[in-house]
Amino acid sequence: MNEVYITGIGLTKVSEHWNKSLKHLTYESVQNCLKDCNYKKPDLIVVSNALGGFIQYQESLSNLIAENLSLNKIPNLRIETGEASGASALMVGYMAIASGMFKNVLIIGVEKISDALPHQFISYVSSFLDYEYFVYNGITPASIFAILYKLYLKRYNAKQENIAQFASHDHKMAINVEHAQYRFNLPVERILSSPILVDPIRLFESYPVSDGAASIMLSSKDQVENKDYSVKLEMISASTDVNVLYREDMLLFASLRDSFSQIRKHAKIELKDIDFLEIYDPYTIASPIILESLGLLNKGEGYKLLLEGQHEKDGDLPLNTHGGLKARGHPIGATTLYQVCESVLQLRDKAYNQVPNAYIGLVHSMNNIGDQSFLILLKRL
Amino acid sequence: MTAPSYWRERKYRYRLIAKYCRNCDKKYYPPRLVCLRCGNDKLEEVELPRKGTLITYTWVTQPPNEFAAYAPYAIGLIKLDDGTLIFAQLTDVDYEELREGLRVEAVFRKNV
Ligand SMILES: [Zn+2]
Repeated sequence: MNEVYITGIGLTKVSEHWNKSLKHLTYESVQNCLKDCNYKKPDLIVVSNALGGFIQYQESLSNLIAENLSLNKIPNLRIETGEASGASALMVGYMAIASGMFKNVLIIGVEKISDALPHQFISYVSSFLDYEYFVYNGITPASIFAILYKLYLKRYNAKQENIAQFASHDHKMAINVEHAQYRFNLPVERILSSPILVDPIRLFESYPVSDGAASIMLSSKDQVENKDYSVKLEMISASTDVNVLYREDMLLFASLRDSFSQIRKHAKIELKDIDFLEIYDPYTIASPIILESLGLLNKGEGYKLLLEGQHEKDGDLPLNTHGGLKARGHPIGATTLYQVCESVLQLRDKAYNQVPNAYIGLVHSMNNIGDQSFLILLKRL
Repeated sequence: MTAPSYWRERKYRYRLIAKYCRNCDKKYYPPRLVCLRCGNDKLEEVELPRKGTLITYTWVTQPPNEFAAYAPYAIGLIKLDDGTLIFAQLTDVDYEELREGLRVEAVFRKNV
């Protein structure tokens, strides 16, 4: 298997981009990415987009984007696995390079949520669940997370103020981050006094409405020109779990536990080797469950390192150093590509909240309530 | 949701029919075609009990488009009397009256 490297990244600011289309957003991020990789010519384009068919009525999106970028006469495809679309697109790009079939693969993540009316958007994200049985009963991903939240608070006798602290953490990180959507401090008191979204989830414990595009150039080893700028994409692991109703324990993401055992087994990496961690945290309650499922913390103690300040940029395990889903924002199909671009900045020593001596980064992505989990392992050259 | 899809699923939804694996003594609702534990594809159809206990609940103020007219509404995680877990909307009860452990039963309500 050939080694895979990230030779370029390009971002747009995450925002509600009322005056920009899917075409404009992707154009901007791809131009930044091409400039960043010194204008490599991709021989494959992989687009990650989850909701363009619903929101913009646009299918065949990858070909439209390719034409709009004048990247013709090369294959293009679009990947959709719900909220984890970006991780899947990256995995496809990884396979394309690792197989030796392609030398430079351009991965583009894009989503534009602000075109949808709020209730429509809820329907669309709920379609990531088994539509005929969940949405039919009015069940949404947010309501399932709300139920997990109540179960968590009760089983572990936890306090909401400690869980809500994860949103506060994300916001504090985002202040320095130019491309982040919400760059302001958000003390826990303000989070807990914001309106209830789905009881007990407060408004500021949820991800916002975000538009954005992020692009990454994946390359084979012979294409790496600048060692200080390039990062090795060491491994992507993936696993799945049955829907929450069938699980033995609703407060554990078994798919994530499995994904990490693959990393441990094949990349020989333990949690103590990781210099920073990016997690997929659409709601605050996801964070402690993710950290516990990874095996970092005992069940019911997922917020322990947070309260000790160990997730700060100079702590034991820096977490979501660019604001996570709540403050950087969550343009769904683009989100994992943002996480990876930000991790590349860390490994280049160019991050907005630079972690000292960052050599190994781990990015977590998931679909629904851990129905699919991905881990992306990145290394400095 | 499309009309044929309502028609196809009506039995499972209205009569709470689950798929049952005799090897594993495990019921699947929503119904699945293959047992997720042993791979058995000869699953039987069994009717779930219509009574159960509320494990926990929430209040949906941000509904999907399909339920925009009914919001806010309560949904519950319910353990049916045979142990099967389901999500369902809770009706004929005020949110303040809801509590964990409340006995509930499956009823029909007309969408207006
Ligand atoms: Zn079985």
